[in-house]
Amino acid sequence: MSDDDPVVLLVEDERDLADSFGSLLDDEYDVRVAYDAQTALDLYDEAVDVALLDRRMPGMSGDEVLRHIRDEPGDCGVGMLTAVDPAPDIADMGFDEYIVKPASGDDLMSLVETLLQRTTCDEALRRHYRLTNKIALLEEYLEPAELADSEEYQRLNEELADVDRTASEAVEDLDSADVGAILRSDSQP
Amino acid sequence: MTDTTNPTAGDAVAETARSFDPGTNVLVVDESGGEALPFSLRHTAADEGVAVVTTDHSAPSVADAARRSLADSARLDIVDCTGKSTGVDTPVVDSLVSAGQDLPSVGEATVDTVQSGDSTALSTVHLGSMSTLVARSTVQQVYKLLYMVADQVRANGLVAFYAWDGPSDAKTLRILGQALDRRVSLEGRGEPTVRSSTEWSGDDG
Repeated sequence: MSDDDPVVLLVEDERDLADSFGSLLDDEYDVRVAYDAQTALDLYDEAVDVALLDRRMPGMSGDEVLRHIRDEPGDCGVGMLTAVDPAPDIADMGFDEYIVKPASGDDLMSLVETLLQRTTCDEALRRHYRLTNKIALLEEYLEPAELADSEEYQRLNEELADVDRTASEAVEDLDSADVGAILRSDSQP
Repeated sequence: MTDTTNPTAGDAVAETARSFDPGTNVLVVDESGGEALPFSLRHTAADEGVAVVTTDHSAPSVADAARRSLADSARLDIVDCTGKSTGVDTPVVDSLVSAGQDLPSVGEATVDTVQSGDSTALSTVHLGSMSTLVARSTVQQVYKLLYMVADQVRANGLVAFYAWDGPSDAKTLRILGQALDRRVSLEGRGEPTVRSSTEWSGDDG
């Protein structure tokens, strides 16, 4: 580990799992591990590049930690790493990626790489990714009838249409190397 | 958009050449396989340039199929992402390049091809197949590739066909289709159904 390594904040209340994930990440990243939400907030600062948050924890939830992080200065990539299946309430959450546990070590490493790449994206493109991920998650976990009744799902699609109009300019400026780099660093488990 | 014609499978090239406006991205669903490339070629004017990015069909078979539809003077570029390097007679193909089979390599090669459209007088790009790319990566990854390529196609005023060969599921097609403008289902021998992205987004389950 060097001073230049990206900083990863890992928040997981299952200590064994947190330690295991922390060890995996430790070779390549400056890892800060928190077993509860309050410790996570104490460890969070602008130096954090990536935050991996469990949603369901005793006391303050990962969702609340996410809100605090987004209220603070800094713009780290946030991945939810959780056993909670996605529901319409994810529409208003400020995460970049969402993985439902169990997750492998490869899943974890890919997630961090994706989130690091995401922080370098144009803001419009990053919003596009957030929205498409949420839409894809809801389409995967909700039944068609639930989607049809979901105001959140409709709103996400409307927001995506708005964002795409803006993001279009950013995408048009990409060359083939940019496209290749995005796809390589953005591989999903 | 004026691209609402539904050409029959046997239509001549000249009668269907203006079916899709420049800047249109078309998902061609071909569950039986083998008909998507001929469909793309039928919707290209015989004397206009075509680039085919292939992940499964060999370069010689693509060249053979293309030359049956295109005028001798029409430009034909092939980007071979099959991993099986095979030669093609130089007079048949104007450009034959090999690229990696992985999704990022296919993406790079496709964007290079689209962005070279102005200088090489291309009007049409055929990318096949989406089903192969999904098998090699994930639906989300392929969606992102399509999103980026489709925007380049619009910016460069080309028409692009994205082939889905073989069995499909509605959810995958709906997700991929969100990045594109039109969808055509090659079902049976009747007229293909051309639908806009909004028309298909709500009815595929």
